[in-house]
Amino acid sequence: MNIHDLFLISPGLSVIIIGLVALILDLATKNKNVLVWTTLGLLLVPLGLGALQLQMISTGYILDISSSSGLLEGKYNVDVFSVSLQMLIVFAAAITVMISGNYLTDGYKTKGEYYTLMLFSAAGMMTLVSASELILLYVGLELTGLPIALLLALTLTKSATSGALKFLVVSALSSAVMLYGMAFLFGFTGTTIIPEMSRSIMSEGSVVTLYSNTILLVAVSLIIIGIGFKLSAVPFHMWVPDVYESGSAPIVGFLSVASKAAAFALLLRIIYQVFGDIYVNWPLLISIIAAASMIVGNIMAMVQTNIKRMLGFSTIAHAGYLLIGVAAIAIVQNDSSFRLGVDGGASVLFYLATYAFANLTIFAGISVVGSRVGGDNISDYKALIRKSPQMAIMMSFALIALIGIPPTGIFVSKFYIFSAAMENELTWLVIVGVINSVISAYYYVRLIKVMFETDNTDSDDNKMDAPGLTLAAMYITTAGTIWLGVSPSWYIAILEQGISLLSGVN
Amino acid sequence: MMDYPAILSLVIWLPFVVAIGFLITPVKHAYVRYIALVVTVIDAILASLLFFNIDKEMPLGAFQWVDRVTWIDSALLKSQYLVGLDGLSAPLVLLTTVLGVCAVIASWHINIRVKEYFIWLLVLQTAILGVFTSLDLLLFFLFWELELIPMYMLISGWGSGRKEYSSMKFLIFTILGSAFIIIGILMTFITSDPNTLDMTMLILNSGGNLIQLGFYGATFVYFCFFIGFAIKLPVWPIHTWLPDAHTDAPTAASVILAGVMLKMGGYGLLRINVTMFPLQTVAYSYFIIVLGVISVLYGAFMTLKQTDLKRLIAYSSVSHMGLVLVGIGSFTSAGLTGAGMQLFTHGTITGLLFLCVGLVYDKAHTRSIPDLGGLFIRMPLVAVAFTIAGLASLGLPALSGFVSEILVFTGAFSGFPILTILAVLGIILAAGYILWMLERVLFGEVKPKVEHVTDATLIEAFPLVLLVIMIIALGVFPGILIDVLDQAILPVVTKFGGV
Repeated sequence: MNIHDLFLISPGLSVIIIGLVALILDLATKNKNVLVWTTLGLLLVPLGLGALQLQMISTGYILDISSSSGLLEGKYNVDVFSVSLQMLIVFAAAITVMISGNYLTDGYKTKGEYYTLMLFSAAGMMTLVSASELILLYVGLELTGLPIALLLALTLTKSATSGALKFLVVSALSSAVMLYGMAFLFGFTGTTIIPEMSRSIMSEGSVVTLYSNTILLVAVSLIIIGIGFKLSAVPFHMWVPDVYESGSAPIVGFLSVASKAAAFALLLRIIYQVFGDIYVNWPLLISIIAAASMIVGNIMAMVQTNIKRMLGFSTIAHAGYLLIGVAAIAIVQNDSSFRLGVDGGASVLFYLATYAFANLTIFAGISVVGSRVGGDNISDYKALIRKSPQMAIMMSFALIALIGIPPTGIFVSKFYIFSAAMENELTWLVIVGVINSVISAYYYVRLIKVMFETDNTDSDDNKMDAPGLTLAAMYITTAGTIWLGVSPSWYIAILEQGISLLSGVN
Repeated sequence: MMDYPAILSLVIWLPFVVAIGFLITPVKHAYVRYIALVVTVIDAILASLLFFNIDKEMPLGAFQWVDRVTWIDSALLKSQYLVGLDGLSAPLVLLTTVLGVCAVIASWHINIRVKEYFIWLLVLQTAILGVFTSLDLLLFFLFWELELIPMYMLISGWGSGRKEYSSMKFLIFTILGSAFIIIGILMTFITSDPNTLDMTMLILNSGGNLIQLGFYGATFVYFCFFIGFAIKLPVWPIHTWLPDAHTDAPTAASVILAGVMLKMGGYGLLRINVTMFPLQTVAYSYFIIVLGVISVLYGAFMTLKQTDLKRLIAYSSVSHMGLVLVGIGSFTSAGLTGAGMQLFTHGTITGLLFLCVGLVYDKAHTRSIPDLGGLFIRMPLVAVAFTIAGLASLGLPALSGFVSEILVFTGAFSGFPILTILAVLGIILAAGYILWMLERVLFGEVKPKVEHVTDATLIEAFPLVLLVIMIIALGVFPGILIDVLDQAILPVVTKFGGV
């Protein structure tokens, strides 16, 4: 263990340490604010470390990313791709800490554990986006899922426990399926290190037999199914609405943003580093899942009366939009084989970031309204513009973003994903996506309408005062939505670099 | 020659900046409407300066007052903030800003959530100006979508009647149209070589050597754009959102909706469909004209049975916008110029009609024709304006509506005589419904509901006078507008052998 290796893994490591610090601090002090502010302050450290790593990568200082020597032995990647995603995850964790205050004052008896578990889960996600070895990957996967299950159950109400149990079972099931697929891959290639797998397939694949094709088809399908659960894509989505409905808003928000980012990172890494050499028609599989997710998610969201349930279905639909970008990675060649392109992956990463901003804004609002009103029905949001104009405006803006209306980040990212898909002749999928955007407008706008609905009887006495920290979080995320909508160019440039480095390792 | 940098961007963004100012500063409600008025007046003055200084000799694809900044620059996506004016967009920019002033004055009596109302109104103006001026397809679409939310909010927040239903219907229809447009934009972008969203380059394409789609691929793109714009125009059978939205919108929103927003559809057709895909326009001209004629006749017949004044004017808009399609389908210089001019004149005429109806509704609290009568006695000023607008609407010579209609008909007659005659029938019907409506509302004995109404105040009368002057001026000197429009339209026609 030398200092260089330590530096490479430092963002993830520091998040774990912060989690432990929160646990100890909870015992040491009774003051909740100290705990929150310390955690927040300390979370700047992994963000700073990540920024430093990005800087060093761009100046060429971190060179031995994929070297098989040293502690990491090529199992843990520190490149633009993983670092930028790690920073997104830490950011989501920080926002979640900021908006958790409401819940922790009334619902929970415990405080320190909450932050610890959340940060452990974040560390798991960070491992997931960096790992390029199957066993490490699996560790990351479990470290992501188990704390979330605990967090979902933390209020100990009946619905929360059943939701948590559901999440736990689904999570275990999907991990098992994925593990099975990984076993096939390992059996075929004889290695657990992802980049080496590719080399092994290349040498074997020179003689493509029916046998090898079948094995690979099974492996690819099982892995996609396993990841499909984590992505909340149709037909592996059944757990999403129930878990979203029963979970506490900050945790669900964290789940929908960070966990989704990690799962997509995993998918992208496997696709860029393994699938490129497999002549299995995975793009078609992904396209079908994408179309199904968008259609089912949007249509089901239209009839929901519970806002969290509605957002659960909305997150399924957004997984569908993201999968369009994943399908667009494969550029079909004339001889019906394909090579991998950068645009699809970069557009997915961009979408993840813009989606994170918009969704976190909404869940911040839900966490306040939910704890003040005590319910999550859409009707509870009636006349929010009167009760808390700032929250209502920012939430509406985030909802507008989710439709994909400018000037928001998701508008640009949708256009980006659609043009990547269009370029790879997935016109039908783009048309499905565009039609679904229209459908989604219905339920998002309905919620906006409810928030702006005032019968003039509502007087000023039922003002809803949002805690300052939550409002600050909403301001930050709203600013992010606008920022990426107005000035997306610099971020796309980073992501393009990340993806081209990722596929270049191949 | 006026040549100040960023003057066009100033015109576009001024209302938006002021709206943001309203949002973040604690400005008193009492001042909001005055500030909004000042801003829109400044905007209108600047826009008219631009309009009267437009260079009428520019070649196709050239624009004035161009502002160009790189916006997105990645391997795949390349987009710019690119705005500019030519003969087609300059009149519409002028129209938007003038009706913007009228809308602010028509909103003078708004007293619930004043600040929010004017924020939406100003944002709306920026969005519409952006649509007319942006020369990058992504930017165009950005503004096209940006306009949705303010209009939705204005209808659902300050409307009347079934405002929830109408505003949602408006929103869903428009987003559906946007879906078609975005597919068209994506296909244009991906199939152009090199990939570009820059309209100044795409316009020069015209014959299809830049967009490598083949004729039928281009036809698909053409109809994606066509459907999107036709929903906005609106064209039968996708017009059904319009009567509802008009009827339930507040007066100012109706003025903007009918006066400017419908023109976005016509502008899109002229700018993108006609200019970028002229071959398809020629090939499907029959289809386009038939749709236009159906809209003209259907709108006119529906108008005859309306008893709500706003709904009546809304259907007359469907009828008049049908003429735009007839002009476009004819693909002659007279027809296309007529279509472009119809956009402008209909904006002023319908804007005036809605202003009058708004005033009537404010004072008499009813828009139902059977309840009204004898307004000439009670509110003579409004009644005179109403009459002039009505006469212009039915195409009385020496008023602006006549010029654009006669241009469209002369353009279309040589190629499509039967269809043109059918469209003229629509105008005869218009004379019927307009005169009948005027007779019932303005003349006759004073009905009880209008017993105590008063005439327009000085400030309320100002936009009426302004628009009446514009209608008469354009009727007498149509050259002011035609010369400007010809700059953008003639090159396309001559390039493709039209007359």
